[in-house]
Amino acid sequence: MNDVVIEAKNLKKYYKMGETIVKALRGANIKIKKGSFVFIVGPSGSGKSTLMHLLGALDHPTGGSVKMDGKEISKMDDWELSMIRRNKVGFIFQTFNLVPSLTALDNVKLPLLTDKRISDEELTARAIKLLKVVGLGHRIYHTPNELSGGERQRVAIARALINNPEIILADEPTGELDSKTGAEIFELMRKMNKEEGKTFIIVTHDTEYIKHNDTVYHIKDGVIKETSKRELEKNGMKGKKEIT
Amino acid sequence: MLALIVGIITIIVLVSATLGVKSSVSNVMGQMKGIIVYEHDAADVPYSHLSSDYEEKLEDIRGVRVALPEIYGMVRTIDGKKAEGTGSFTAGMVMLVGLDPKKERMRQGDMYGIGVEEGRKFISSDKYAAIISKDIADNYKKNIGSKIELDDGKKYTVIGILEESSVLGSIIVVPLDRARELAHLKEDEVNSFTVQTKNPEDEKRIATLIKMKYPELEAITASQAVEETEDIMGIMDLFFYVMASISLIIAGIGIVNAMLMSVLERTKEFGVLKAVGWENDDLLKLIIEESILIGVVGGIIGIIISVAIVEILNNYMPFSLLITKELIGEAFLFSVIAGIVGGIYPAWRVTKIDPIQAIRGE
Repeated sequence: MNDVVIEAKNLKKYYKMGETIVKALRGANIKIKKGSFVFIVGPSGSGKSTLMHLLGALDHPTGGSVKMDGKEISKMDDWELSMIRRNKVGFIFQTFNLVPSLTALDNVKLPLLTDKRISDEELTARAIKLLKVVGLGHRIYHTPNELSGGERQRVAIARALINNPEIILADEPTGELDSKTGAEIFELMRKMNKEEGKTFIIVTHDTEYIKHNDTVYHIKDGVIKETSKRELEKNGMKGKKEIT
Repeated sequence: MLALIVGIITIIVLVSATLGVKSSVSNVMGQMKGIIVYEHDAADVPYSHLSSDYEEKLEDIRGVRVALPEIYGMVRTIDGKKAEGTGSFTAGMVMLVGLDPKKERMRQGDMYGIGVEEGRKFISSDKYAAIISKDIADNYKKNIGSKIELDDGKKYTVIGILEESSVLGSIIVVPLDRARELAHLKEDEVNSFTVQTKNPEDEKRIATLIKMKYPELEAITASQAVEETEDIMGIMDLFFYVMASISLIIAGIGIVNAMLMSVLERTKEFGVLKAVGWENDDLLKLIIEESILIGVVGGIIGIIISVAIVEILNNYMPFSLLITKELIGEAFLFSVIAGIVGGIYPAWRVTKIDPIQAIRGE
């Protein structure tokens, strides 16, 4: 049991949209092992992002439970959740979400900037090291506007790693990138997974980056089913993005 | 920021103007010694007409040391041309003052607290002598011993030049008899008396005594006059503080508006910060710090500009605007408070940002 890092049971999330209630998740179950490289695929509106937010301690579920390292996080208050995010989770977003006025270095430092447990020198050193790891050692003082899309996502990956999290959640990390750059980003994430043992949970449309022995969860109508690349191909989910 | 800077400038310039007027008025009045006696029904001293008989009557009152007759008027021509004075207090006119040369040595202190800088005061033998204010000396190029021709076509010898005064403006002092003629007063008529007592503590009592004995007279001590002006200043103060408060409110709203705009523009960034683990407290601190910084920087800029404006104004105003350390301190405090207050609402708005919405929203 110890190697399970996140476990969601009977997870429900309902949204109110005007008069109607949208059931984004209606009893999803998922178990993610430490150090795994997991894909979550599914059509638009299937609840992928919702699941991601719940697993990443960004939101409260309507029902069910989410355990991180065996600890129930679904009932935590906002402050406790922000502590979880700060200490255990790293995020990579489709639109990078870098602060445009800050340099790459400062963007990477951002998550721990208000953390008093780490000195600025230490934080800067760690951020520079991470930027080198993602191949941006020569672009430390550039602002996002001066970087290409791929470079921006590399900065975002470095930022996701700054707090040395166990889990990295990536929401469509290659959605804004061309396929060559996208492949490079996946290569980098796989490297982090292998070398640093980080758990990666990746929500994506792009099945082309999934390898045959990767764990793949298919989410449809608010429920999760474990599947594989082969099966996805059989069902016709192949190639580039679906129409959203 | 602009609203704040303008607000601070408004506050400093307005308050320094009141402080300046107040300090110069009370400086002058405070140094005056004695009781001003004038006609009860007259609106003000220059409109009062009294018989010079009162000189003796007033001096007969027990405790009175001396009654000094005074005449006020206007100088119309200097050296054959229209007299032109400086300073808005005398509205470009030149004030004529008549004093009795035989009695002036009895006066304690200077008239209106303004001393003679160059030359001397009147002595008994002075007939066509004049003491002039500094600006007249400068503008008409007069020195001690120069002749100055007034309305009556007579030439007066300049015997004294007054210290520069921000309050009095342009003034020419001549012997009483000459002033009477220049001001077209009847023979044996003066405008007012300055009554000085043997014992300064008696002033109030003697002023009351004069009024009781001669109901046709008004008697007011210099200190009462100061109090009266201070009452008027108090109203001015209040008015200026109201103005200042309004500008502070405008400045506060300006900060709220500016901060809110900058916060809303960065909704996504704050959402990201929240997503990566920033607490609401961290964000709250960040916004309040930012708005305090606006307050501090705006305050400093406002103070610097105000000091410059006051410096410039002081070259043109008849009185000095006075900037005190307290005023600068208050203005600075003001702007910091405006910063804090202006940051509270935007900061609260930031804590309400939903990270999921913020990240998703393009």
